[in-house]
Amino acid sequence: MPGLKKFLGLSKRLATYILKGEDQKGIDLKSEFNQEDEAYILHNLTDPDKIRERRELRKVFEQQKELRYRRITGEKNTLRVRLRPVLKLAAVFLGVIGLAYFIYTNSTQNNSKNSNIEVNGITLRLEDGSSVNVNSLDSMETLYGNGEVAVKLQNGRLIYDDKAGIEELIYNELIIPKGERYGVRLSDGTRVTLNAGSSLKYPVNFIKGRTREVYLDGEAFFQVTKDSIHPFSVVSNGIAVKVLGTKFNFSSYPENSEISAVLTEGSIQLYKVEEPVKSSLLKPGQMASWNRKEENITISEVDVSLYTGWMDGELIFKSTSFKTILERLERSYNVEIINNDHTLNAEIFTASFHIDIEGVTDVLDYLKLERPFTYSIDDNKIIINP
Amino acid sequence: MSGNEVLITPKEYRELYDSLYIPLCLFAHKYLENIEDSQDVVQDVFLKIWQKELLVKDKASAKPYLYSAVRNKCLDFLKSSYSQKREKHISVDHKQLEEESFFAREFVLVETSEIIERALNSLPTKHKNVIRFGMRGMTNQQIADRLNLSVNTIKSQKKVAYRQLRLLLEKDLLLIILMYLV
Repeated sequence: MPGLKKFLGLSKRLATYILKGEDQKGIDLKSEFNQEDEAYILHNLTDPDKIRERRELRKVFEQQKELRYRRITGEKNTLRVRLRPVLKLAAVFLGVIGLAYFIYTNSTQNNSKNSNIEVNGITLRLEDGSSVNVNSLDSMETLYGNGEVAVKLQNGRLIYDDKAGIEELIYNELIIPKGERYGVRLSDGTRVTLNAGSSLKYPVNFIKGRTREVYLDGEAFFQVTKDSIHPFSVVSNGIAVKVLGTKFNFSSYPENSEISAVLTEGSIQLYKVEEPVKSSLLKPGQMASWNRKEENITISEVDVSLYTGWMDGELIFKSTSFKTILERLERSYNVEIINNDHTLNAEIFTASFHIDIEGVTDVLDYLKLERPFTYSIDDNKIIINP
Repeated sequence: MSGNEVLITPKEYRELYDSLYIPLCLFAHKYLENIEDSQDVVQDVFLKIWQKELLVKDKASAKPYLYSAVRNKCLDFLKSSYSQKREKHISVDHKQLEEESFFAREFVLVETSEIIERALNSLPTKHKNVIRFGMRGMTNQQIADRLNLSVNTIKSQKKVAYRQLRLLLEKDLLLIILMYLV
């Protein structure tokens, strides 16, 4: 244990290197770690997926911090935490949903289609129309009638396991309110990160021999598991993106005039659902935008990080109109913003923020340095005046 | 128990808890791969301090001590009969978990990411931006383009940000000086 002092110093030096964006090869990890551990440490500190995972975990722990503190200090005589099975099972078990409930006709599916209903917290809507509030739970499982686990909540994301025996398409819908982001792993291993104010409908289990099809409202980043026999499609407001195995961002908020897909890896096709023949093929680094009014697709080269930064909580505005910025702020911070300074709407801004680090007022304070305006806050409403 | 113990005050206890609860949970999670179990273990260790079954002298000396306590508790937990029944859920080999090198590796990982997180959280917006983009390997020119600023502005912002970082990390080091064994 005395050796820990050495490791504290090492951590500090390593942190400095990373914060300065310098090559970590200059750090003396080799004297303490073998090659494998060295690579492990550096990968975990710099890989965006790993950083994201850690942030999510950190958030979960942060939420529990106060509660746990009170348990320790407030009820020290009665509550002794015991790592015993009885307690555990009670905490984990949420409910059993029989397979019979899942077998529904189209009519009930339509019921759950309306995702504009106001929801509190991240909500999972099950096939039978019942809802589960995901953030309120530490862990949960829903089961098939045969006792097999359909979905479980693990490390702050929903995970669906592949169950070969299921032959029925059973849909779940995940609804993310404003101010939240959330991840789900579908039964084929495809990972989806949903942005604020979005919803995704997908089968609990994809079925052999049929295309993998999911329905999106809003914005999400997809990391699709490769399976050339079963193409993967994302359908949204009449536009579909078809992929084999790839990473891409898909944005289709109803209030935006354009639906856009940005590709980071692999290849995708974008087309109107009614006209699958007239599709546009995208290469990595390209964006395809469907203009709702003009009904046409344009393809352009883009800086991909501008469109995927939201997953790490980044708010990036690159020559963005004030009006669009306000829409993004409303979604990201779950606030209502009323703008009475109409000449401001068309003003263009370039700036970058982080929603976990800066609050909405920090963002507005920064923007008003460039083009002065005043604002006042009333409850959850922000009013901008000339 | 060695030395002349001075028990920490409730206020110090709170500070200790605030600064270490999350990193210790992240650390425990490397052993247990389970959010609830990790928090239970960390809570249990903090409870023992609160009930004065474990004595810590001050914040600085407590850190390494708590990491070790959490690790030991994690390993005990993995050997418990309850955990054995769920064995299939845990993918890492126990042998590896018991090694000192695993402890050192995860300790450095959690501590480093903690320092980075704290540093980013304490910088003002514009300096944070240049640091964040730089961390991703963007050049000054790329950062300038992204923020619509000149390369010279980026350079000077970086300079100020580095100075702030240095001050921050030096302050941090003061807390690291002591080692203390129970």
